[in-house]
Amino acid sequence: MTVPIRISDEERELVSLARKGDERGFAGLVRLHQRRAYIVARSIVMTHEDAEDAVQDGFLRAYQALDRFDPGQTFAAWLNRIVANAALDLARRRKVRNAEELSEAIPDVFRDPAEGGELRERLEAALAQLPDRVRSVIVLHDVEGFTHAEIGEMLGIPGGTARSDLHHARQRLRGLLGNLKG
Amino acid sequence: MDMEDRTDLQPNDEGDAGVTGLLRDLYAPPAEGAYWEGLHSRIMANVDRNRGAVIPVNWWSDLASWTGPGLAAAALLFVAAGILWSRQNDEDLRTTYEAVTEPVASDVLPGAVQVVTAPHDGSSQREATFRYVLSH
Repeated sequence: MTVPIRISDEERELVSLARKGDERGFAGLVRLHQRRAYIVARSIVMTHEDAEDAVQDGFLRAYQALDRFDPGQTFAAWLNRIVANAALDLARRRKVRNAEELSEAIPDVFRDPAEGGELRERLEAALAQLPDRVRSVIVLHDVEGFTHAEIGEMLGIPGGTARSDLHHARQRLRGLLGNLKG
Repeated sequence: MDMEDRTDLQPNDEGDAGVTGLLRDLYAPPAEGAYWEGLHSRIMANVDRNRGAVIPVNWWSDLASWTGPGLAAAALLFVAAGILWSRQNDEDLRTTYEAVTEPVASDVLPGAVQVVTAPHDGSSQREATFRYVLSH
């Protein structure tokens, strides 16, 4: 089934302005998409600060590649893939630089760590044990509601692999969290 | 989230409601408007700072941009190689011709020697060479 491309008139106008070099166009696109871009980046990297860095890097890459944007697709899908690539690059660099420390780290969250208590801490520890891609898939699916196909496109994997990663993530989390419900 | 987004879930693939709730809580983006205003400013400042820098989006799209210049360079190399090869071929032909038509000292070859000189009537050197070889 072909999913119709939904692109608003406002977005089309902003893309057109940005491609002509009008900074107001790109500023408008940033305003429209920065929240979702943050979520995409945050699902891949381990910290709020790294997510911000990846978002900034992703928007810069998008700005510099505007002439290669195909107006036949949505700007959001194109941007999300670029941001995901920026986040994956950052995650790889972090891993290479500090592999041992990262493997033992508990994710640094933006919100108050005391909020949510023990269950939250256990979830954080369990998520830290998941492979990066598997963790990204469950977060993108459950937090923001991306489909398997959208996640696959963002992470450069087939939709079926995203589906299988999601299933794997649920199994691993159930195993790691044990009696969470109790 | 609308129903369309959930249609690709397996019937038994719904996450544990408790875990999903905690995940959403854990990964929820900052809610304050001031935060997003600040991020917007940082993004635009970063774009301004690095306007001239070249950062590849993906390696394959970066390669694609080199396809045109690469093909042009290959075509130029091909033409240059053809010209060199052609010149070298002419040089070899001339050397062969001169070796065959050059007067030979009488003490080297016994008996009468027919000396063929380069034609002045515009006929080709190749033809003269061919005639000489046939006559011997």
